[in-house]
Amino acid sequence: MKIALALLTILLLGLPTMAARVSLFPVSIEQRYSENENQDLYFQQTDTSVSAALTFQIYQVGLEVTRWSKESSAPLVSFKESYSEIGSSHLFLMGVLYDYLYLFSGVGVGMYETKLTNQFNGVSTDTNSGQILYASGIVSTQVIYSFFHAAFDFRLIMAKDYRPQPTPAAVFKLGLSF
Amino acid sequence: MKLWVQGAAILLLLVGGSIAGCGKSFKGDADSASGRIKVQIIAPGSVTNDTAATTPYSFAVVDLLDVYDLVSSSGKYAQFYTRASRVEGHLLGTQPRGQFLKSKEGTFVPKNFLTQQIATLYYHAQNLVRLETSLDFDSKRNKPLKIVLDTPVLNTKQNENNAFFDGDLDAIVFLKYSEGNLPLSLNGGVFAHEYFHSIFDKLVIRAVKNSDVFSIPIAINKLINSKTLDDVKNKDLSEQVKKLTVKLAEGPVTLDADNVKWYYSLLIKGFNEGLADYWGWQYVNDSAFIAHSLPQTITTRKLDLKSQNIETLQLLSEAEMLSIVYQVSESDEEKLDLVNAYSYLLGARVALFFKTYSETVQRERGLSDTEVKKNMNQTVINFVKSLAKSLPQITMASAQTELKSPYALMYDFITAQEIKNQNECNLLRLFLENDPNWSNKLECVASGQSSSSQFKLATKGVQ
Repeated sequence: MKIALALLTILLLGLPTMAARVSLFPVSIEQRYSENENQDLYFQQTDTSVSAALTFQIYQVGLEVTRWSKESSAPLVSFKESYSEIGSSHLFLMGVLYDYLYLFSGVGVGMYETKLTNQFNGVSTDTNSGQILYASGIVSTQVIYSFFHAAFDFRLIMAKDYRPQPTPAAVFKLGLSF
Repeated sequence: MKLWVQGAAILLLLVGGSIAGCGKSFKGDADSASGRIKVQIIAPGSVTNDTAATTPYSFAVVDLLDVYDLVSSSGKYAQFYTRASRVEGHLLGTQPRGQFLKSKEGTFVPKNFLTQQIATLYYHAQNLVRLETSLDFDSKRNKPLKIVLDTPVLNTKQNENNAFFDGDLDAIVFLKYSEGNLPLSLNGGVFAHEYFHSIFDKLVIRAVKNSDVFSIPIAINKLINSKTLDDVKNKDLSEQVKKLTVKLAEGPVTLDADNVKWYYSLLIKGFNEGLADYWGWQYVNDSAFIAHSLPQTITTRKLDLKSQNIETLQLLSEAEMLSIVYQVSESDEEKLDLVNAYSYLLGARVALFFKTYSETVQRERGLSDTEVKKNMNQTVINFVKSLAKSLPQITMASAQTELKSPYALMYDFITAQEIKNQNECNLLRLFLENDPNWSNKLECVASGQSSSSQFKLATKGVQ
């Protein structure tokens, strides 16, 4: 186990030095088209989302951390779901549309955890889902110019607690690349 | 072009691999849950046997049984509809899509209010259908109960903060709840009250359907009639009752066919509401069960003497019943509203009698809660069965003396009871003697050896 962790650390630290380009995205806006209990679809915005990407010729690997929550209530009762996701994206260059405009496509894989807090009459219960796998299909349009890196992703996310399945999402990321 | 081919090939491999490998794990836990399922609901401690419950309602983990599909919470005992409508006498609607989070312990926890409602209501439906099945009567429920939520109901004067049983659709409908207390759909006592209407409907309402005296359409069995609730509270019938008492002492009061129909509309709805209140009280063991959701009912529906503003256990007198019938002399719509409102007044008294009788039987016979519930549930059902036989026999009256009074119905009930001791007998005697027809005319006498009753009520001097 220790050896595996050490190798993983070396790989993670070593990868950026092998990459042709390292990108950091401190600004990231994500909207998901989710389904509520009445089967109506609505836009759910994530609360925080940061990511980084390493590009190796035609392959781009990304690391993302996303958090979001939603709340609902009725008299005496309230519900709060908090989601935290940590995931990786694996994109392949499908084409160069213009000089600085690239089209990537690929998949994302990660883990999410849900914490549900139900409250009734001042008494609350917490339920934790544990770590659960999710996956997504991604099409990404990216503009890379000098140190500037922007990406607009369209994703279809598959996770057992997400509705609808797949859940469509649009992500806009803005960052710097080196 | 080379990039496209390379990228597409790798992508195809990855997508194919992930779909094949992970496809099954993306199926929601609730999607594949059926049969016996542990779910977190909000329920009264008395119903879930949670002895640690300090408030009437709290979170509880219970087993839902015979669930076909947890997402819609449909199963052997209940089926849910949202955005429902009545089309050619049939109930149409959308099945809700409940959202649950499965805990590490395997309990499904509702993620939102609609899911909380369907899980909680399924549990109460399960309890009450199983209770019904355990009782001795014909035409027991053999299909899931339909429950309607999240549906705006337009053709009613009160379109929120209410619940009712619709006999034509065989469905319990919960209207939008906008007060800041326990939502009606989470109130187990209210659900049991509405559930009782489904039994009364099957046994009694259908039996009197073709009877002329019961031909006034009985208003839908709403939990409360708040529009006229205040009217009733503020309306003082005492002057009218006094006049009628004097008139009745002089001789029989003549009635027209409409008076008779309104009288029986009041009588049958009063007993329906009263027995339903009793059913609700007994299910949750809480005399103010409606007030948890609708606090304004604390003075009219709480099952104790003080709340009912009476000193002894009694029903409405003949003069009071007739005053109500004469009172309602305006438009048909207003008559219906007032008869409806007064029927809850009669109902509260009926419920109070059954509650007191139940408590007396438990105390006098040393029965446990479970034993007295079993005993009294069958007792009430036997009474409903007797109403289903006796009410259709009632013919049109021309004078008040020919009317079947609430006390006459209760006399039929009481004489069918096995009375085990003097205290039980005295309770029943004192109750009946509130009616002038039996005032100081009854006595408790020991039964013969052959009878299962130890005591019986007899008219004084007629032995």
